[in-house]
Order: sequence, then structure tokens, then C-alpha cells
Amino acid sequence: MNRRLTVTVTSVAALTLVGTLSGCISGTGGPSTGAQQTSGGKVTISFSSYAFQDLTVKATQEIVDSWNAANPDIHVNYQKIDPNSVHDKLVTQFAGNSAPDVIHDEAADIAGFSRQGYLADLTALLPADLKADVPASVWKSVTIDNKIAGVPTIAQVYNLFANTGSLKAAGITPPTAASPWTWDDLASNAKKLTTGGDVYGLAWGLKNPTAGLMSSGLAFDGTFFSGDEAKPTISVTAKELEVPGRLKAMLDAKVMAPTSVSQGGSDVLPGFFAGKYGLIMAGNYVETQIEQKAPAGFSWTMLPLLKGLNQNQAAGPQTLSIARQSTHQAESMKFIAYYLKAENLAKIAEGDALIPVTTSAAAIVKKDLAGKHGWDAILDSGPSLVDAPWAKADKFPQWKTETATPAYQEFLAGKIDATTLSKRLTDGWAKANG
Amino acid sequence: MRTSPATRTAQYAAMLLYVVFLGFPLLWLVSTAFKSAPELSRLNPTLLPTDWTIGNFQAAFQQSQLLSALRNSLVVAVATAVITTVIALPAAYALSRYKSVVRNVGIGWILVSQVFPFILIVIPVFIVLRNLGLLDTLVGLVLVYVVWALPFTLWMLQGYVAAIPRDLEEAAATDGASKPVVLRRIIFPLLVPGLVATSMFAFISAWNEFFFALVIIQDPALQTAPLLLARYVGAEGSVNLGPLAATALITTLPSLIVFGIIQRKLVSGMLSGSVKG
Repeated sequence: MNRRLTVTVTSVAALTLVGTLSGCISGTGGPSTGAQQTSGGKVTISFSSYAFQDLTVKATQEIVDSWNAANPDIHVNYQKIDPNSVHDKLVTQFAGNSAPDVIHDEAADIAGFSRQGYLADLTALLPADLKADVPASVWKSVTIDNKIAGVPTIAQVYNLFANTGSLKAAGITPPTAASPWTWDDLASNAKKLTTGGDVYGLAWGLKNPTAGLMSSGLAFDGTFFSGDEAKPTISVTAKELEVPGRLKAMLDAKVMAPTSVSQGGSDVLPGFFAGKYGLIMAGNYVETQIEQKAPAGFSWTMLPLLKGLNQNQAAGPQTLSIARQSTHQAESMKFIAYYLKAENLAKIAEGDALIPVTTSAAAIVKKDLAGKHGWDAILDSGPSLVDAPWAKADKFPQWKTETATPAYQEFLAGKIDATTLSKRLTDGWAKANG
Repeated sequence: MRTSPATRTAQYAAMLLYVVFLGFPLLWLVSTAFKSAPELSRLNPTLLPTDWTIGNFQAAFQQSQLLSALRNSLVVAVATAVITTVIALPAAYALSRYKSVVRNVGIGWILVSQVFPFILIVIPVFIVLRNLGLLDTLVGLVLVYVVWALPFTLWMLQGYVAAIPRDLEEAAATDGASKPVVLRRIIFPLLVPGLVATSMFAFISAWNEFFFALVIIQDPALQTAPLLLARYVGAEGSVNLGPLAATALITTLPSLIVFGIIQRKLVSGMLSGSVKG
């Protein structure tokens, strides 16, 4: 090794070690998570959030900053985590007794943590006005074994996004909240919008189809599960097969883009922007991406929830929970109540393009977004959000990954028929549920 | 036998295709980093941006803690490389040169330690670090990375030591050189390529590592670059592609620069390992 290289390497190494040591000294020297009480009586609580969209991250930071400014004795430490690692990170933190005090998660994920005793029962901590501000059906979705495991914040629905130029060209009048499209209307309008070549009436990124299909199936009373919340029994009848059957029919009729079965939720956007699909079905969070990415002059709107027997969809809201290990649960609840103040939750909902579950925040969002891209009808869909029976089943995540998703994919691809799909779903649950 | 011009042309063409194949992901990354959001949502993407923009880089620097993440990654990766190499060097020499029960046990330990997957040990590691007060510190992360990288670097380095003929040491000893002098003047210079290769391995392992950092680091000011990159990927596959590509490009540069600086040493190390012994 020549002398210059030796000196360079040695210098870098020395600087690095100094940097590491200074990092250690300036760090917490121990867990930064969990509440800490300083000698002056000031409490620091940690708040982990997987907010992803830029606007939501900004809104979350503003909420934390304004709280910290107004509450010098209860300091909130905001920790940003990526949405896809929430569960893994929490598993480790709970096992290591190092979980954040306030945990941003979602209803489908907190049931298991609650049953394992990692989440505080919020029933006695909840302020009465906050409890009254959220519909009972949504509270039900976060109540695990009679304990409220999280405070619901914002929720997602699956709705149609329409290229209004394409609708107009096909002579189709957009539906209204008072007169929404039925699934039959969707099929007939998708046919009108299919003009041949590679232009299809409908696209729906169904690479991971289970959540969307099951949620949409509630409109036909396709509940799948009944009985014990943790270990329910499954029943796959014509009601549960209604939505996948209708989608398969549209695929077979070539009015739904065949690429749908291999695309992710937002992968259909380039084709939507290019006029290849008149309608796309997606989680309403896609609204933000359309706002950011749509080419100039592209006109579009969201349509009211599709109607089957009703317009029901699964209420799977994002949640704020408190770790049972937290030594400052009362202070944590005060922060959660502040986070859910109407003007704060409205900012979060508008950033993520999701529906606020409190009526007070929904009123603000509705006022802010009145007449814009069909937001009025989407915000009115709050009462259609119902507790999904599968959300609290212990083995649902395993069944979803190992059984339901591949079975739905094979059905939509034409590899298995409806009878086989039903049997696969039923047998898979029996196996997963022991 | 002389190579015909046609064969030589075909060889160069094949090599060019291979280089393009290897370089295309990097080219695509660069192209994506300079495309606007609407352009990234086009149905038929172009190889190069039609409207070049630095907006993604501005977003990467403005909306995230990119600089601190890069600094943290650099600190962790260099510290891991240095500490791993310093520990592995004498251990590799002992393993390679001294035949004993300890050597067999040591090599067995190295191989067995490679069997355990991340997920199996992450909770015990988390609890140990918490008890040591090293959770959420870069020192804790370096400690884990050193332990994780050490077996393989030890294995690599003992191979390099074994490739150095014992005759050289014996000749130096015959000429009156003491053991420390032999190590410093004879062994160490010949091991430089091996040291470069192993430290490079440790550096890149630590630079790219995500899962341990995910569970150990909580403080946003201490997060490493892979944690920052993960935050550009949202739920249900939604990706903030432009800023992700810009950040990925920036975080790739240090690895490329380090590799560029030491590649000659690395190549000579490979060659020396292949012809000696």
C-alpha cells in the first residue's frame, strides 16, 4: 500500500470512529422510545407514524410542532417510519419493551397486538366528545374483545375514477351520490367505453386483489366470516363470489383491461392518463397521485361508491394506539385527542386523500374540497363503512397471503372456476385456522 | 494462435452488450431521477427524459434528512469496515497458520454462524442492545454489523493468508527477522489486496443493510440511507418514484467512488489469490 493511501485510509478511519463516538455521546445512550420523565417534571412521549405522502408528513409535523409549543410539559417526539415496516418494527419493539407511546397503525393490524396484551385499552381514557364524534360502526372496527385498541383516524374506500372526457365522448352521464351506479351499470358503461384496440372501459390493479374484492363484496352482504371474532368460521356463498364473478365476466367480455390482473393499485395510472381506460377502480388514496402526476388538461373525477344490495365497504381505518408498556398513557391520550381535533385531522385527511372518521373533520374537508373531483360523494360514504368480520380474525393475514390472494389471482386469470375458488378459500381457512 | 479480426469484433460486441446489460439499471436510475412526475406516469416511458428536471433532487434534499442519513451511513460503514478488518486480520492469520483444535472449532463456528437468518436473531439482538444501553445509537448498529460481517470476512481473509507461501516467512526468519518484523514487513504488504477486498465487503454490507437498522434505530437524526429510501415506498405499492430515484442515485455514489478507488487493489488481490499457493 503506498504511503498516501495509507494516510488517507487511516485518517478516514480515525474521523469515522470519532464520529461514531460523538454519535453515541450525542445520542440517547439508550432507548429513545417510550416515555421519559425529566427532573423538571417534563414528560417526553414518542409518536411513531407511517405517514407517507408529503402533505401528510408536513401536516403531521405541524400538529406535533403546535402541540409541543402549546404543551411545554408534554413533549412529543415524532418518529417517521416506512409504511411497509410497521408490523415488523412493532413486533421487535414490543418484545424488547421499547415501543413508542403513541402508535400509528391500522385496524387490521392491531387486533393481534391487542390480544397479545401489547396495546392499552383506551375505553376509560377516551374523552367523551371524541367518542361521540366517530360513528359507532367505526368504533366497532377497532374494538377487540370489548377493548378499544386504537382511535380511528382516516379510512379508505375503493371507488371509481373516471376520465370525464371519455365519459362525455361515450355519452355517459356521471352518477350522483343520490343515484350511484350499480355493478350492472358499471358493466354496461365499461362496454360503452371500450372502443377496440387497446382501449378498455375499466382497469383495476388486482395484483393483490384480496382486500379490494372482499371490501367491495360487502355491498352484496358477502361477509365471509361469522362466529367467534378471533377464530371465526368461513362461508363462501354466491354473495361472496358476486364481485369476483362480475369482474371475471368483464374480463371475459374484454371490457376490462386484461393487464389488470398483474398490475398494482396505482400501476393503472399511466394507462388512465393516456386515455386507454375510461374508468379505473382504486383505493381513494390514489387521488393524491392523480393530482400530482396527471398531465395538463386531463379531466377526471371520483364517482360515488358502487351499489350492490347497498354501498357497504370495510371500515379499516388507520389508528392511533397507546402501548400498554407506556408509563404516560393519560398524556398520550391527550395528544391523540389533539391530533384528532377537527382542523388537524382534516389536514391529515386532505394530505392522504382519505376520509376522516370524525364528523367534525369530515365537515371541514367537505367544505375545503366542495365540488372538487367528486369529493363530496366520497366524503358522504362514511356511513357505508362497516366493521369487516375478517379484520379481527387471528389467522386472516396468513390466509390472505397463502390462500386468498393466489386463489383470486388464478380465478381472475381463468385458471380455476368459481366452485374451485370457493373450495380453495374454504379449505385454506380450515387449514390456517387449525 | 492469432485471433481473427471477425472473432475479435464479436468478442468486443459481446463485451459491449454485457457492459450495457450491467450498466442499464444505473442508466435507468439516472434517467428516472431527472424525469418529472407527469413524465414518470407516461404509458410509454422514454430512455432519456424529454424534459430534464432537477426537481427530484431538490425534493430529496428539502423533504428528507438526506445529508444526515448519508453521514450516518458513512460513519457506520467505515467503522464497520475498519473494526472488522482489525479484528479479522490477526484471527485470520492464526486460523490459517496454526493447526490446532481451536482452528477446527473456529472454522466450524464461522460456518455455523452463517446459517442463522436475520429474522431469527433480531429480537435477541434488540434485547441485548437495549440492556447494554446501545439501542438507537450508531455504536449499537456498528456492533451488530461487525458481529454479522466478521465470520465471512474472517473466512475470506484466512484464504488470502493461506495463499502466502510459508517459505517467505521461513526465509525471513532464517535471515534473522523476528515474528513481528515478519508480520509487518512480509505478510502485511502481501495481504493488502485481501484486506482491501474484505474491508470492501464489510463496507458495502453495512452501507446497504436495512433490517437491523430498521429495528435498532428510532431517532430520525440517526437513520441510515436505506431507512430513508424505504420511506419513499408507500402502502399498496405506491412509490414516490422521482425523489426515490434521485435519493438512490445519491446514495449509490459513495459505493461507486469507494469501489473506483480500490478496484485496482481488488483485482490484484484476486489475481494474487489465484496464482499463489
